[in-house]
Amino acid sequence: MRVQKLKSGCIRFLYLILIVWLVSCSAQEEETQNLGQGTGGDPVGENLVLVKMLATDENKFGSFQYDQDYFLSYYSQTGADDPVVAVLGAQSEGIGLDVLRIYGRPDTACRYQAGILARDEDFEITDFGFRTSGKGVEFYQVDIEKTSDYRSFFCAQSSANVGAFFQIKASSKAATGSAQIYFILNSLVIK
Amino acid sequence: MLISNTQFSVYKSVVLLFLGVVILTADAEALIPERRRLFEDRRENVYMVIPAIASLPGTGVFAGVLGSFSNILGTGIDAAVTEARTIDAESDIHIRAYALREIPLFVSGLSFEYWFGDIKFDDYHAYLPGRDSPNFTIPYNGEFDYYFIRPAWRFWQRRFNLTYNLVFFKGYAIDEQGQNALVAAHSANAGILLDFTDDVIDPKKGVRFDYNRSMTAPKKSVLGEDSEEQSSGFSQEVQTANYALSIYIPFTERLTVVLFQEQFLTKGAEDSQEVISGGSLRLRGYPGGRFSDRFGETKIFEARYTIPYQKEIDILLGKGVLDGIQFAGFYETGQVSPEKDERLQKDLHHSYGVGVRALLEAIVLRFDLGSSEEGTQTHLTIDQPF
Repeated sequence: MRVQKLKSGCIRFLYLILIVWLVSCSAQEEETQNLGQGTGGDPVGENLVLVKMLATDENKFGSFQYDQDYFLSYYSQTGADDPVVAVLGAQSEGIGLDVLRIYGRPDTACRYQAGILARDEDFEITDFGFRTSGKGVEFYQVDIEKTSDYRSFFCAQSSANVGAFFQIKASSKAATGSAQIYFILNSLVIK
Repeated sequence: MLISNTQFSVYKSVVLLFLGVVILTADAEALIPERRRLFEDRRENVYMVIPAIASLPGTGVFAGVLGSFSNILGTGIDAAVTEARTIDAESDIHIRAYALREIPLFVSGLSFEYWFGDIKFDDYHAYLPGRDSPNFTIPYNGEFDYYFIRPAWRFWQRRFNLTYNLVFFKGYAIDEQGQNALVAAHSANAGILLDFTDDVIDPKKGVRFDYNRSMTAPKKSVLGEDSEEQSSGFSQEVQTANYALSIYIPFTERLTVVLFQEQFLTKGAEDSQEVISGGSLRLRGYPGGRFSDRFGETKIFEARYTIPYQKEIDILLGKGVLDGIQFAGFYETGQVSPEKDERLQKDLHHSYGVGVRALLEAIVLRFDLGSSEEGTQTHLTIDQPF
């Protein structure tokens, strides 16, 4: 009788260990960090440009600002049918910044883009996670790099399932984290 | 054909030679192991209900119920139930699946299987297809209802099995562009299984050969009708085939070594810029779907040691004779490639692990633990892996 009780107790204990182990084996949820203000590079001036972002229904779903004394605009969204919102560049710093309209959850778009480049062009994924700007906008960020090609992707989603995809390209890691770039991200207002 | 002429010739020659010897020899059973038990003779009302915490690689930790019911009321019909939802932070998924299997039809050996259920995932993490797929998942949302029918013809003690599988799923998914895609689609495949082993459920000696290939699916059936996007997509151009060979070698009465090899091949849409996935490697040390591409090959070595038990179980959660407890150790290698070339044998992925199985007559409850360079995965499911 005692042996049976002991066996039964052992089995229950093993089952409990199994449950705890299985649950603890799962991946931990990514923590949301503050976006920050960025560091280095030229300080942001006062000659700012407001860029409105249009959804396919002609409504504005968001806007952001940039310093036009620092960034040149190579392209602007032509209308509601155009998914490319803006193409900016700071040639002196070797920085390119593309802004596109996306749909759906932000981590899908950013992780997919990073995954494709990692698979097809040997980029290394160095960092990723959710970030929150000072205006309360939640981004999903992924950083990738290959030799002197550094890229950061920031994806933000509006309540209407439409969002903005920021792709930053630079020849140095420091340039992708500059104050000018983070000013643009922190200026993003999205419905 | 979806394999090279040389490879098909080899497989065909082996099977024809084997069958030829069988037919020509006076004693056909000399080469084909006698069945330890006949599937049709399984006892009625054997069942196992597992309220479980289960870990499915790549998806997360589930809580729910797995149920398997064999030969219900002596009708020969089996049933299976799965209700589970994730309880960890990795994914938000619920799965419901119900199945009626071995439903006898009018002709001896002809049976029918029907599955239905729904899957909802608010955070399903998938890997990109392709040989160089990074260890980096892409999250998707989606919700599908699915339906599956399988007529099957089995004869000569289930040594010859012919099946046709028709699947229909409908629902929505958020694709990689973030677009909400409504999908309703059929898929179909047919297969032949030659089972020259001594048992359908838990073989200890013999050989199995399994071949499946995709078929042109109907756009409309009793299960439903394809959506327009699916009907016009190039997915209809792609054909896949899958070959599996299992060799069961008894070393002692309790110890069986299994050699398993599987290949999948894809044809069609060669001009596509996208990576076409025709299947994925079944390496238990990696998450499900980790490596997929047009072509793939898996090789597995597994040793199974069975301790006979022969204990009658009659409790709320299970009924039947616990034939034994089986311990397994396995080592697996595999690789995928966009072409069927030497890259299938280079930079192989390796995984290894152990498992324990409860053999309850016609039901095998299996728990495997697999490890690889990318971590450890657990599998809790019904049936042997091969």
